[in-house]
Formats: sequence, C-alpha cells, structure tokens
Amino acid sequence: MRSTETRKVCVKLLGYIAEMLGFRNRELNIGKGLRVRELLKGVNVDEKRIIVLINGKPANMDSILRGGEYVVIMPVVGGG
Amino acid sequence: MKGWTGRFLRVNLSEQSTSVQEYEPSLARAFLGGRGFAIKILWDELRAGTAPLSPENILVFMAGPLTGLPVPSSGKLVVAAKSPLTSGYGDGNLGSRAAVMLRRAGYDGIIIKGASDKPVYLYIENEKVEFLNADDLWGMSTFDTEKKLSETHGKDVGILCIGPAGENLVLYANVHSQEGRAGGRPGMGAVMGSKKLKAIVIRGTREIETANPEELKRLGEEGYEEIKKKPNYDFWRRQGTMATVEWSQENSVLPTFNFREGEFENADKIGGYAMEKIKVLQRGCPYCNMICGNVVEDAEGKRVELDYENVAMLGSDIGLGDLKKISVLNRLADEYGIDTISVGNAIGFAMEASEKKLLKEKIEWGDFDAAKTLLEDIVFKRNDIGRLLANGVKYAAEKLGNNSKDWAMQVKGLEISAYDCHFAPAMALSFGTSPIGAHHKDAWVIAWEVQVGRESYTREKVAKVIELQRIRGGVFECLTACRLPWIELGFELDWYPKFLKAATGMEFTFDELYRIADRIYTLIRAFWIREFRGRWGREMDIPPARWFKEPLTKGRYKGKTLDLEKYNQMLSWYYEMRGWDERGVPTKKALKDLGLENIITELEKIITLK
Ligand code: SF4
Repeated sequence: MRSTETRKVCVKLLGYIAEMLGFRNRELNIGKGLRVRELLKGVNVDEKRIIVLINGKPANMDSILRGGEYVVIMPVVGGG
Repeated sequence: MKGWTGRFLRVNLSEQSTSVQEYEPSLARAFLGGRGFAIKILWDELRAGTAPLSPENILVFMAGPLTGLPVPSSGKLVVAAKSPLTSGYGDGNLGSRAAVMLRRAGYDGIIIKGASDKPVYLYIENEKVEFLNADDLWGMSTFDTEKKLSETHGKDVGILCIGPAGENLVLYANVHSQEGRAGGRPGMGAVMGSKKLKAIVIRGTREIETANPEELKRLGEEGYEEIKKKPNYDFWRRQGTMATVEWSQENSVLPTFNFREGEFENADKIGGYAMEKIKVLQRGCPYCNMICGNVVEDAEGKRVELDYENVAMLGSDIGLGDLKKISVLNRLADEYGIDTISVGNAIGFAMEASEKKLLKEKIEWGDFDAAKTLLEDIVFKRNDIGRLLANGVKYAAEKLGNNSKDWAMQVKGLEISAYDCHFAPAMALSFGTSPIGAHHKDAWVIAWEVQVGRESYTREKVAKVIELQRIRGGVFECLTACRLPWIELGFELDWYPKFLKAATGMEFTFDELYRIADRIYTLIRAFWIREFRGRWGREMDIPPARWFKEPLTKGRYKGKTLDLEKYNQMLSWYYEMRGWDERGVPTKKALKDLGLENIITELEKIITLK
C-alpha cells in the first residue's frame, strides 16, 4: 500500500489520441487513483478502437491506475 | 447484369488478337469479382505445371462490382497470375485510374495469354483494342513510361505499367501506376515482362450501369461524410500509414536487422512525424477521400510517395535510420518497378549474409550507398549477387546454404512484410497461411492481438485470423475496394452490402460473403497443391526458424520467441476450422460444402483427398 497522496503514472499516447490530448509522453498526477477513461475525458475517441496497455499488459478503459504504471493508449491503426 | 459489366476482355499477345467474353451471371454470384474471378480463371484455364515466365502463363487484371463506382475508395483492381517467385498463386491489388477506366470501357477484367516477341503496349478504348509498339518505352522507368504515355494518349487515361525490373524478369517485380501505386508483389511485373507487355492504357467513356444509381449516389455521399467524421480522420490525412512506425516500435514489432529485433534505435527519425517535416504533397487513389499517399522530397531532391511497409523494410530492417535516404531507395524501387517489401528483405538478407561471411561482398547494416548499389544490381542483374537476390531470399538461401534458410524471411517464397512476429503468434499464423505467401493484406491481426494479449496460442486467435482473411482477403479483394476506410478509420462493414445492393440489385448477407471468401481460399489452396504435387506439406505454412529459435535480444520483450509446438497446434486448428486435413489439404466434404465438388476429380489425380 502506498501512502503518498500524489501518485504518478507515465502516459504515452500514439497517433490521433496524442494530437487530441496535446502530448505524446507525460508524467501525470493521478491523485489517489484513476480510471483510464478519465484520462481521455472530453476528447472524441472511438472506444471500440482503442488499445490500452498497462506495463505492457492488455487493459481497457475501465482499468484503474494506482500509481507507478506505464500506460500506453493507442488507436487500432496500422499500415493495414 | 447490373453492377458488373458482365464482360471480360480476352487478349492473346502471340496472335495479337482479342475477343470479348460475356460471362455467366452465376460466376459473379459465386466469386463476386477481383481475386475471386482471378483464381477461378487461373484454376480453370491454366495448365498445371506451366512455367510462370512462359507465354502459357495467364495474366489477369480483375475489378469487382464496386470498382469505379462513386463509393468510398473503390478505385482498385487485382492483378494475378501463377507466380514466378513462389510457383503458386500470386496476386496483388493496386489503386489506379486504370481500374475505373477498365470498368468505364465496359469490362470487369482483362485476361492476357501468350507473349509478344517485341515490346508492345495495349491501348484500350471501349471496344477498340490496339497493340502498339513499345520499343521506345522499353527500358524506361515506370514514372517516365507513364509520362510518355499520357503525352501520347492524354491525361484522361488509366495506365498500368512495368519498369526495368519487370523487363529483366526480377522475380518480385510488380505492376505500377501513378508514381507509387504498386501491386502484385509475387512477380506479376515479371510475368508482364515475360510477355513483353510494357503497359496497358485504358480510356473508358461509358457509364457503369448499376441497379439503383440514385441510391448508390446517396449512399456514397453519406459514406464519404461518415468517413470524414471519424475521430482519426484528420490525423490519418496527415500521416497515413506512416504513423505505424511509432506504433510498431512501441509494440516491438518493427522489423529491424532482417527481423532479428522488433525495435530500432532510430525509429523516431523514420516515423510519421519525421515524414511530416519533409512532406511536399498528398495524393491518393481514385474515389478516395482518405488519400494516404504522402509525397516527400528525398535526399536527391526528387519526389516519392512513402508508406509504412516501404519505410520499415528499406529502413529499420536494413538498419538505415535516415528518412530522406530511405526515400531514395523507395523511389528507385518505384521507378524500377520492384516490390519494396521484397527488395528490403533481399538487402537485409545480404547484409546479414555479409556479416556472417557467406558473401564476399562487404555490405554493412545501414550502409545507404551499398544498399542503393545492391538495389540496382538486383534490378539489372548485373553481377552475381544481383542475380542471386533477384530470385528472392528463399532461392538465395538455397544457394548459400549454411542454414541461411533460417533467416531468409519468407513464407512459401514470398518475403515477409513489415511486422516482426517473435512475440505475435496470431500474426505469425497470418503470415503462415496467407494465400500468396507472407503478406499482411489478408489477415492483419496484429492490432487485435496486441489488444487481447500476445502470449497465448488459442483457438480464438485462429478464428480471428480466419475472420480477417474472410473480410480482407475475401470481401475487399473481390469488391474491389480499399480496406483502409474500415480498418484504419472504423468505417463500418455494414455499408458494403448496402453498396452492393444499390450497385447490383442483389442482397448479400455477410454469411454469403464469407462463404464466397472461404470458397476462394479453398480454391487458391487447391491451386497451390495442384502446382506443388507431391511437394506440398504443412511446412509450407510455417514461418522461418528465426522467430522460433532466436530470441529477441533487446527491448521490452527481450528473450521472446515463438513456440513451434504451439504454433503447430494453432495451425491444426486453422486447418480444422477451414475443413482442411492435417496436411493442409481441403477435404472432400469441405469442397462439397463450398460448391467446389467439380474440382475433386482433378485434385484426386494428384493427391488422395480425405
Ligand atoms: S486509403 Fe490510401 S490506399 Fe486506400 S484507396 Fe485511399 S489512397 Fe488508396
């Protein structure tokens, strides 16, 4: 259990999501914890076509960040 | 028939004769168009064992029921033949005004047999077909050829052509259009070259008759609007497929040093943001509002269109981290009419062979000058190493020996496109079972796999590969329309049966479309088996040993490899789901279920069916 009140996560955004939120890499304060979805509040993304990885493992919009994680949020785009 | 023109143009180059075939409507219902028509014709008309570069090979260009209609990204066609690179079925699609013109000229396809003894090109204007002298075009780059031909015939024509690589019978020469649109990776350009056919110029001035033109127009307009509203539309227009460099790097699937690694230290120098800094123009295929052709200025001050596959294979995979130099290699490949993915593989293979002292030439990783020289050695087959690599890495590995086949990155003889699969079993299966050899166009499952988890080898993954093969390799390759609105922007699949209904007047359910796709896959498989006879076996569906034996040495997935036993388990599930036996051969029951019972007798001459 962590006692600190200002927990941080490293967030990496790819593709259009980075453009919408205005950054590609950032360390963010998440207070006591945060759902991934809240990171994307207010921006127009297609939830079905978003990939979320937390510490390299598949996660989703409802996953909860508790501090210390490396989160990557990327669109299902490709050289498809 | 509506939607389809119902006609093929048949051309015999040996006799310089042509005829028009009105085909049966049942063909359209069973095979839809594009790839479906191509394999049906090749199965029915190509004698088994035909030498791919002989006049007897058949080269087909096929459009589908949506080609050239005012619906999203419909300006595509399929080119197919027996492949000189793989000796199996080969095809590819490309976006070109020629696709639209072909249909406006009143044809769904062109079937070309025989060979000319002198260079020729075809000029098609509706009913009129001419064989014109191409002596002065022979030897010209694809860019110059098109320029010359549009000076002669006007700007309002569609042109398909080959470059020197096709003329010189490089086995992965492809067919080109509009400075950078290319298709037919498994040597369709060499087949065209072997027929001494330099180009096809098409002018079509007719309406393509459809069942409900007003409805089609309305749906098309709605569709284009819908695409524009997708959240990543603007960003797609900025970077197109180039955004994938960063994506692949992040996921450790960016091919690096001949697929040894999945991360490249200079990835940020060759990605979408780097491209935006040197971009000068944007263009695309007909009837497309996503126009993903990003044109940049290269290190020699010339213009070239970049996309992900090209940049990864001519960049990270050969250890080159300078985008302007990669652009030079990309442009040369386009001008010479050689496939960028295969030539990138060939150069990477040579660099590794040089490092391992299997070649006397010194070709170091990332050496741009050496890569450029090598590319031209290959195109012009001007020395031993050029001749060796012009036949593909499978052939080169057979000649070099020393287990180099383990790192000759190909399946069925076709070089692998730009996704490293050390830690992506479903994507590896997709490359393994792609019906033309390793290519991403059929089941590009990597994004989905990253989403559900990379570690596992499950039935669910196999089912997903098949689902994607049905949609991408089946439906889109037959329509023929570009799959990118769907896969890149999320333009819903439900649009397509609606477009089809308005175009043809016929209802197609997804069940029916997928059955058509399965029929096509099974017939393509039968074609391979017929060509390979006793040499066919499940090892044909297994990617190279590197991914199984040599772990990644860097990055976040350091130490990962594929597991051969588990891969084989997935392959068995794949066969089972397709109704194929343990050898990967369709069973009698599967053939009957798909309405292919008429090929049983012929297949049984070669192999006992279960
Ligand atoms: S999305 Fe790109 S490849 Fe597809 S039709 Fe449009 S321009 Fe061509």
